Amino acid sequence: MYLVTVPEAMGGDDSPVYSLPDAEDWRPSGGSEDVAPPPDALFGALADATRRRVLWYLLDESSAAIDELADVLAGWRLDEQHTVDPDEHDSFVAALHHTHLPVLNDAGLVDYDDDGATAAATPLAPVVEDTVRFACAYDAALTGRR
Amino acid sequence: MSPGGVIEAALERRKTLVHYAPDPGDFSDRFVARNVDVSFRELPPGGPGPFVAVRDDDGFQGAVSVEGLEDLLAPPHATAFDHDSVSPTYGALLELLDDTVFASLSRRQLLATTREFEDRAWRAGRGRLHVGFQTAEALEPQRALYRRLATETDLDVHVHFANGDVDLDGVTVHGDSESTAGYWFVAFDGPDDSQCALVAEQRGEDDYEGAWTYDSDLVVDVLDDVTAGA
Repeated sequence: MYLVTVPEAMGGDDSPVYSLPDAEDWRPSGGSEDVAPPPDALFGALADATRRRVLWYLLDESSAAIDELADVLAGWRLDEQHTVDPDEHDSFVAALHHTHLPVLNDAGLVDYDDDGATAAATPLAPVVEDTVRFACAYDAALTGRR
Repeated sequence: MSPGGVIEAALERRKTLVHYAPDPGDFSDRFVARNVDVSFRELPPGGPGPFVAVRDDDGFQGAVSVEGLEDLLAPPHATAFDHDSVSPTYGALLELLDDTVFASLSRRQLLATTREFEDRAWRAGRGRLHVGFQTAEALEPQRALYRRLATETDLDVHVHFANGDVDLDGVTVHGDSESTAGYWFVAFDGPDDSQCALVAEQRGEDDYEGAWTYDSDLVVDVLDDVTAGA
């Protein structure tokens, strides 16, 4: 059995991540336009740090160019290294284009047109958005961010 | 091409700098360059530290944290033979922001960049290094370094004064060099891709407009002109 110490940053009464969804929110497929992916698709999408970072950014930005998303991934990398060079940026663009955005697109979390150069978060059911935000907050808390 | 030609040539090249941070703060006031467009993108809470992405006509050139960029905006005081005080990323920062015409550089910033280029020449060990000084006094703190550059390497070392003279072993001194008037310059043409030049025009007591470049054609043009005017 594992004991996990939950960082302070995760606490707080107003945090949605520890409250069970309100009955009103809990309508994964209640006829609303909002997306509620099948559990395996949702958690599969969230099972990768790059995809959590993309979602973290898109939830607030609504849409972003692939180049901009690669910039953001470069920004995360700068916590471990001094600079990010063009080759590494290219590899971010390729991974977004070939792997991560298609996965997020298939899960219904992100609208991404293969030909397009931009990606946008889809309108998510409140409980799904809470889950995605929880995953991002969990990342942030465990890596010591605010 | 006079030293000022480097600034003119650099002005032809534009860069875009995207500042990612929770809020813009005073960044765009602190990063003032004549040929760089600075834009801002908001980072949601819980993200990486503030950083910048640099692009030019060829696309993405690099990213660096704003914290790292501070070394360039407000470098520690660099002294001769004290390269430890300059961060190891300083060279990478210079390369990322080459051909950028900074509207206002301080002596401290120019000294830090000059130290980096002198070090580059030192490491290359051969080639020609031309450095302009306003006065003989300005060279004084650097005497030991220039003696070592001239005697312990195969470098062809030249110093230029608008009006002045010194006696330095192995260093060719140009006492009334026209190129030097009003300019701070360092130009090095060495093996492989080690060419570099820094040129800054004095605007005020501690205020210069300037740029540095790694463009070998530009460096050679400046050196040819400086040599002809010496």
